[in-house]
Amino acid sequence: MPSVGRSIPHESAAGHVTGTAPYIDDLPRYAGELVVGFVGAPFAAGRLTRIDTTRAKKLPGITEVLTAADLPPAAAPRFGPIFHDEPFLPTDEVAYLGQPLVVIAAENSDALALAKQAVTIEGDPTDPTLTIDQAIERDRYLGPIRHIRRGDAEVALKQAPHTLKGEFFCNGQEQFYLESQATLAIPEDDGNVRLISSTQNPTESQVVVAEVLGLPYHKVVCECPRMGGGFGGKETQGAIPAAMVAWIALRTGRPTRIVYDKTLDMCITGKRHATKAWYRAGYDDDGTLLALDVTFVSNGGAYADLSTSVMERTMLHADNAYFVPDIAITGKIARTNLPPNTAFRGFGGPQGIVVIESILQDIAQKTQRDAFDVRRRNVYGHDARNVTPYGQRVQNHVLPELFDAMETRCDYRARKSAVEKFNAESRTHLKGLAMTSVKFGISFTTKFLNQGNALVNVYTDGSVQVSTGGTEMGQGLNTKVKQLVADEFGIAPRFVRMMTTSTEKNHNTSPTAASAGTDLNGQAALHACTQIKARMAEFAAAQFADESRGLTPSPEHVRFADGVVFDERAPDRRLPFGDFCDAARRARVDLGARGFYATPGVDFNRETGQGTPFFYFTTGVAAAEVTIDRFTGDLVVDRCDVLMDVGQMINPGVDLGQLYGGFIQGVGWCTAEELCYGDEGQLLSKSPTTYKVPNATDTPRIFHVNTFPNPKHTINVRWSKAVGEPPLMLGIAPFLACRHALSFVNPDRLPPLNLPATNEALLMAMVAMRGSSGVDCAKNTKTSRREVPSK
Amino acid sequence: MTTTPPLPSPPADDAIRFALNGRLIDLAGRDALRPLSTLLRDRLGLTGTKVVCAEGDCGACTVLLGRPIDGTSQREERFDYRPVDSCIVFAFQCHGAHVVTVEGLHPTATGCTRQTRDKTNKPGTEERHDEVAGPCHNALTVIQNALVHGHGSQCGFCTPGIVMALHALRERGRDLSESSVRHALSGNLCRCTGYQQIFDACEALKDVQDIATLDDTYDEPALLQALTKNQGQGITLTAEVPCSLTLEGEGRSEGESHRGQERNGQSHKDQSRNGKTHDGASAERWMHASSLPTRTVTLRLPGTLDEALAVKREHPEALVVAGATDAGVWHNHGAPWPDHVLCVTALPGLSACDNNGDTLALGGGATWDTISDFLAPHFPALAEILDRFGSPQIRQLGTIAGNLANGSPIADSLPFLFVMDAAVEARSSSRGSRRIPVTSFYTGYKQNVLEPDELIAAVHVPKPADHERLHLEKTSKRRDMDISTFTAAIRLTLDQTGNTIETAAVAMGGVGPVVVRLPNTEAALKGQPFSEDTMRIAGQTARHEIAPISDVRGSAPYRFQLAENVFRKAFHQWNETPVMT
Repeated sequence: MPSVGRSIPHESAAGHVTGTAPYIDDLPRYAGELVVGFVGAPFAAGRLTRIDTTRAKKLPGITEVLTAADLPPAAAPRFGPIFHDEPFLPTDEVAYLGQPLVVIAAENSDALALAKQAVTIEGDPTDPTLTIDQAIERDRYLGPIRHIRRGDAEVALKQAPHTLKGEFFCNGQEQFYLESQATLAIPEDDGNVRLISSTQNPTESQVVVAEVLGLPYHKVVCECPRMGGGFGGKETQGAIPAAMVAWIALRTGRPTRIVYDKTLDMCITGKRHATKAWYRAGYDDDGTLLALDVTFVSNGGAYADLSTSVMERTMLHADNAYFVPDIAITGKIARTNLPPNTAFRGFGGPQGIVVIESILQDIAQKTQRDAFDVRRRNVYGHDARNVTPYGQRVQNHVLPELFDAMETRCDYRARKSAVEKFNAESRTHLKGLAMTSVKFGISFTTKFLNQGNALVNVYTDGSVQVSTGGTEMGQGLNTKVKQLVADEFGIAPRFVRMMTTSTEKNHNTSPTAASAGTDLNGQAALHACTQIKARMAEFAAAQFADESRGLTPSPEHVRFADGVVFDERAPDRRLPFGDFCDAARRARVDLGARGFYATPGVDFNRETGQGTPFFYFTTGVAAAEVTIDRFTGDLVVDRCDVLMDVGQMINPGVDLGQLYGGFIQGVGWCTAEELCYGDEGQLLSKSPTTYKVPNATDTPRIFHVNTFPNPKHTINVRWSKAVGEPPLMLGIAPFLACRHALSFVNPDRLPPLNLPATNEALLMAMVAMRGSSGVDCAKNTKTSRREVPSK
Repeated sequence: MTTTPPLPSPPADDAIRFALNGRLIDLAGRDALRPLSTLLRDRLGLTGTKVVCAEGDCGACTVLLGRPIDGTSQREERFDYRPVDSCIVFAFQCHGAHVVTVEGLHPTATGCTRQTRDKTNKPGTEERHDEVAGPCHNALTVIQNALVHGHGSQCGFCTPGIVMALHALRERGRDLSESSVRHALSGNLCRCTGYQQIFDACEALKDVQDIATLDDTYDEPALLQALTKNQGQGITLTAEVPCSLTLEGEGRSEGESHRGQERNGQSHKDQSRNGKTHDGASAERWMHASSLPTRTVTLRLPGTLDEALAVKREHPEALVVAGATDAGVWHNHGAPWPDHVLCVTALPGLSACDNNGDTLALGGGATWDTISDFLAPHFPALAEILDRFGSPQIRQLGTIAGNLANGSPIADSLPFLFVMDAAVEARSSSRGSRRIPVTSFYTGYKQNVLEPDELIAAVHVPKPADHERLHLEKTSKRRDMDISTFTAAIRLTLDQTGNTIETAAVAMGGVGPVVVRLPNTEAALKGQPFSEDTMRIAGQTARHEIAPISDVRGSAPYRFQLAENVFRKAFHQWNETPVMT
């Protein structure tokens, strides 16, 4: 019986529930192991004038106190995944508050804490640039300005019967993986070092560590057994701590570990980009979009990191699931004095999608039409209105079908009427109902990253080890690859073991990101299996050949199923897979292979903004109903319905987990998760005490998550679809439901509501929309829209 | 540190003793002062307990803390297990208790439903598809097994804490229905699952009867005997702890609490705690030293309230620890230990709640979980607030005296106590008891009128009269496990007709450095018709009696608006204006 399509438990589930699955800080201490920490910049911008470590160096229990001056001469001065612009340790100019300056290795944490206090750092702080508006004013940008255009948006806007002009701000988001950044470095002989790291990107860690320490890449091995969550936050951000411990390990010859505490991690690692959009939309009386001109500026932080790729995906999702005939999309990245912002599930997609969904909601209010009807009218078609602004055809999709199915399934019309009736009657609460969609492009938009490799070893008892470049962060990649491989050999998944991800087995790999982990690594593993099976089939064919029964040797008739190998022409003779493997090895058949996969057909020219960046799209729709307390703004998400086309699921239990979890993470971004900074650039919401990710009681009481069949999807591994990121963008539905609710306060005014829709933002928006009764009305509005709240 | 099977030698009077997963542990010196999670992970190698925030705000470190139930008043001698955040419980608070971690959910006795694995170890000999990867497949509790098969874990980092919170539910005899589980997990953050598959996995167990409890696993009477020997005797313990540095010419503040002052109270604390300088070694002096500079901390665990008061008289500067839900956070943020620590956790005679006719007496050491149960019949509105107070884990530790002594302006209990004209009973060993109206208890931000030798022994709350209306408001960014942005209490008595307000009391928190009564607003309500218009005027009056600031939890304009709106909200709730369809 094949295992693909069945909900077998996550491969580490038993370890999770018993606490026996180890994370970096759980690994046993080595004798003589050092603990590493650092002292960061005391200001967000300005020049350093003095770093004094003499006192710290002389304290008992302190092994190393290092600054940039101690780096080897061969060290690369800057690193970065796209642009090499970030220093490991800055020498003169500080770019964000807390930026690592002094690395300390100590015998124990008591000594480390003491030594941190004994370091003196002096400098000339300057006024930091913290917000997008400040960066625009000061003309501080990262990377080039990009455009995607089709038709002539200016002309179309002039000709459109109606236009809507506005701006929209969405705040960033902290990944809040539960296991903070952590790496253990083990020195090996001959100046080599092995890193065991909580990273989505072992290759990047290997490369950055080698470069900043001036080593050839092959002297560094990076392994990742598992992560306690990643969500994009461990795609690049693990490199600096990994470099610290590798450096100390190589200098001292002692195993060395660094584990950030949660507050430190939140304060100095990058997050989802806050993004501001300025738009003009043209539409007709029915709410059909005719033209859109939109400019996005994201808050990139101090260095480029992945910001240009993130902005690219924002721009590539400015259309979301809707056809816009004439469109001009512009993207810029503000350079500020915050830690460099980075990947977070959705990777810029949410910031693009929320803008067009808000525009459509506003058009519905303006045209006094139902927002579902407006969206449905604009959705991509099958035969016409099916080409994206960047020239890729949207094909083999079920977007209109998803809309229509959801309308029925969630009983949209009746509930919409009920909401209207409720709002007309209730003195105390407001309700809103909205449906949004997602069309998420699958593939890295940087072409070369769309590759994966895998190593498959079959042992002589028939058990199998699989290594891929993919990392396991809870998303179930290993479980799904295990199922794929098990089915290839016709054995139970428990005989397939997924090995620790390591750059010595799988090299030059891409980050486990872009939802493409299973697509790339699963295909690569299958490629390895195909090679092994071809050799096996040839050997088996000879075994099964039987001239007396007229059976000539025929590899194509060899089958691997139910734990046995047989010739389908004579299925009565069956060899147990284990015995067969043993015999094959004795016949000198190679039972191992390395597989490789490169996604076919994807290409995108970012200079022209045209191409086919995506292999396919994962799509879905969601409907959300919310209730808002008219007196306090308190928001309750009452009900959510999610319906997605995720292809043929390899593991429904795992994939549904991605849908539930991704959706709720999106709801968190849109509602209660609010990053607040002080005037000095210090993060004020720096722990779960002040930064509120969704709680168990926030999961909607009614929460229906279902998948929708798409028989037209016949590509990708086992006809599955990537599932990690897309549901997050459906978490925007409750936000639009809030805007719908607010529209009842004053139908003549568009809700002044940015993202997140905190209780405060909702209350102040209601006050602003009522206009008359509230005291300090104008002031309140300003506050609720603040990008960076002051202390 | 030693671990022994429960074959008790008498505990020493300079060490604490508790049981951990069925084994006795005696601790002296610094280990007794460590957070429980540090002790478990770094000293005992029990890394199943994870630490994320070290602030009691995520629940990843949840363990079960079982306190002995007195056999004389209960049906049998056993432990009462409650979920606690082990990152903000000091080891010494576990004295006399049984701590159970995820490693201690002994599966053989807790009802493992999984049979031993297939004997076949080679593919092709026998096939089986209902499989679990990893070690200990046959060593799962029913709850663990349900999570495994229901996809209740993804990255797995929060999972041990969630398992413990679910077992805590089971230990208290509660069911595993979705509503029960939602509430029980409101102190545990999971970033991966969105919780739904956890609910569904548990829902499937709702009617399962044979989920074993810990009294099936452990020989509790033997443990109790070993732990309760010499009960009532005080313990004095000294520990060497590292100093922090005073750099010459640099007035570095030491171990400044990042957040402790904003937490919703719950731990005892004395005023001197805000002063620093219990330590401070010169960096120059310690250069080239052979070991780190240390200083001595003296910890007292009194056996009786009288002994505790004597310690407080002798060392008025002592840090008083009851629940440690603040002190634990300060510690993890680097706050230095003061020279003297007085632990009153679970001190006999301090935690009783009594119904004294016209008033209700709440023991200073009563935890919020206890108080919530005790007060709920008298004040349903308060029960709703206490349901959201901290988290289930925090409510097992935090005490009312701690909430009062910490004196946060956003402490959830204070507006209620203010409008009820509650009295704080302070006690000293030399002068006995005195009662202080809670409305005159505070003199400034986190400043109160307690004398240095006093402890808060009890809080006395008058019972509500007929014709009273009480509304309590707790506004926070997230419904559960969040510190308030704004709090309010409105208490009105109406005349016989119910149409006129006879008396009014209004208190608000989060609108200034201390919780305040609003006399002008009260005057605006008194004698007025009980109407929405009156409430509207009261709200506008309230705006002029408060002085909120903008901070990470909310802006000043937002707080002004909440203060204005809360009166009309209360009116509609009292009148049961339809809220939901």
